[in-house]
Amino acid sequence: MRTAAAFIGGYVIASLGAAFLARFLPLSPDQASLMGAILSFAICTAVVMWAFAAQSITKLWLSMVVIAAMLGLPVWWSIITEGRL
Amino acid sequence: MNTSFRQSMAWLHTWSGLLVGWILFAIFLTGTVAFFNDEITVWMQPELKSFRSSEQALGHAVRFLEQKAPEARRWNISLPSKRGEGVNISWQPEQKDGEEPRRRRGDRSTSATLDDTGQAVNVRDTRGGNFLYRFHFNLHYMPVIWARWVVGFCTMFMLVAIVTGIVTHKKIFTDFFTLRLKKGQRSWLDGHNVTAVLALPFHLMITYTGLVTLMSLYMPWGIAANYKNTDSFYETVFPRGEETKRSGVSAPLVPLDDIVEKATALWGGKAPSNISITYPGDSAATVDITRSVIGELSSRRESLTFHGITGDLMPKKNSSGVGIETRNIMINVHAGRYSGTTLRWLYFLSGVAGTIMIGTGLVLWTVKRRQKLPDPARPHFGFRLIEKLNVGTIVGLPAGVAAYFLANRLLPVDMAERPIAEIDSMFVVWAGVFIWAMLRSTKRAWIEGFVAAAILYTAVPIVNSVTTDRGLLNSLLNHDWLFASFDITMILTAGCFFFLARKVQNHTPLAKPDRTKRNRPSSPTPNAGAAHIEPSDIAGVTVQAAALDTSK
Repeated sequence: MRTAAAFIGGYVIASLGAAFLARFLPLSPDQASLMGAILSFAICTAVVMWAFAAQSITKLWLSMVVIAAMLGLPVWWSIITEGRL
Repeated sequence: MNTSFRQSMAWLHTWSGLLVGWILFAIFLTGTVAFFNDEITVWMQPELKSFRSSEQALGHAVRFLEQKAPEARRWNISLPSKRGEGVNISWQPEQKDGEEPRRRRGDRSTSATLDDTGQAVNVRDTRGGNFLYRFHFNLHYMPVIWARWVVGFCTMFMLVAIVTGIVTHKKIFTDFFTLRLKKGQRSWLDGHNVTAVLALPFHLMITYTGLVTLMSLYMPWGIAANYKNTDSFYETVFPRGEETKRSGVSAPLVPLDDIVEKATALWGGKAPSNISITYPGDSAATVDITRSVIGELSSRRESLTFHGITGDLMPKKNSSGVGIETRNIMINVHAGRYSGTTLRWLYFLSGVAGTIMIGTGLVLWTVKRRQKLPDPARPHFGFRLIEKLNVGTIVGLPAGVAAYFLANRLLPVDMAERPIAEIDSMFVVWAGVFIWAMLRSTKRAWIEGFVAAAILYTAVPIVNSVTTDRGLLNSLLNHDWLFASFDITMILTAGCFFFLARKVQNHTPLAKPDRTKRNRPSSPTPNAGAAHIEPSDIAGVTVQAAALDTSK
């Protein structure tokens, strides 16, 4: 469903985006964590808008999964190899 | 949905706006009022006269605390500032071994307010403006975390509504200057647009920064990605310093005036707002002194720590960096505590515009839908429900706020659980308006509701002058601008509600345009301004409306 895609997709992708920025922004870990969270709300807004503009719901869900993977896998890999503080 | 991007954004704007509109109205109204929360608290404690000097205040506070709580773990003294508060002191008693330190906020047994002569004043117990401030993110009658999730959810909806509203708004700058009155739905749309666009930067800012303020709840994943547990993160970003322990050896506390002098010098002349003494009377005592952040955008709690016996400055770790600076600036811009009087009023007026934006949006929804009903005189249940919820919220909450102020003046000063009674009064009146709205026809409910709200607001300064010696006349004579502007604002608000009541009373719905005429190009529709508007019209997609509407 489109609304579910917007809510769930919005929050999940925004959270993964926050984690991605936290790991990969060229800042100290504490500052990067903060900036990631601060920027995540813009990501969530964009995803929600995209979810309602998209023409095909199937395509929407698939694209969301792909984006989540593109954000989530590097984060997961980075945590496995470099660990957390 | 095979519609254009603009049309789907318009659809999203309408639905996201309505569903949470009532809650957002409540958040915006109480948040706007909260810009003056300290001033409202002062008004709600009329026993407290304003202070002349703070040098004596500190001495009085220390003497009082030495007498009342010599063995306390911590003394807190807040000094009078330009916003009018008195000297508020509180203390944290030394806890017995194994006991958790527990202090309810505003616990009267461990706090006091002092007057000019150092005597404790019997000030009426009230949450003051801080109740309204906390309501706008904690709501009420529910666990705080639930409330914050509801508020956060609604705020994200609002952010989406604002951004989609901008995207949908093809002629955003032209429409900024357009307010077509007496044109039915068009007028509501214009009113909604004007209040939205007029303070658009404010609305965008307040919504986004509102989310950031509670981001540790909504978005902990940034921290989780880098830290195994949050403690190490918080220690890095908000270093607390060594936790001191009592030495058991008593020693006299350094004169606090010296500390104030040193701190003021280090701060380039800025005055302190709070002083906190840990383990007073002990040789391990420390003094924390915090300064007011009026005029500063990037500081949160500028404080210095001094040794309690020698008066030497103790070094403190300070965290800095783009992340914490951005966060601090965003929170400060949201709360507006740094602002002086003029900017604070601008914040307030922008908030009023935002509240009106939400209110007109809610009404616009029903105005538009009413024209689409098969029988506008007998709407279906869902539609009637939304109309009643509109009245109940838009009239009920402001009426409730007036009732809160009235309860403050009318409830006995010494009654038990007084703050709770004041707060309950607001909700009782709000519920009363809801019930009244359900029982009356919608138009009569609006009129009677607005009149009732106007009467309540008129009553506030009247009851004030009858029950205290700080009525409007006295405050004007004594140059008590805080009390005077509060009472005047009450009167102006009452005036607005009377005006609105009259408007609704004189309102006659515009005739539904004869749609058959559209198909005959030789005779254009007589009142193009009241033409039936489709959602796509907001996007300016319908060519006919654009061609016929020469007023654009």
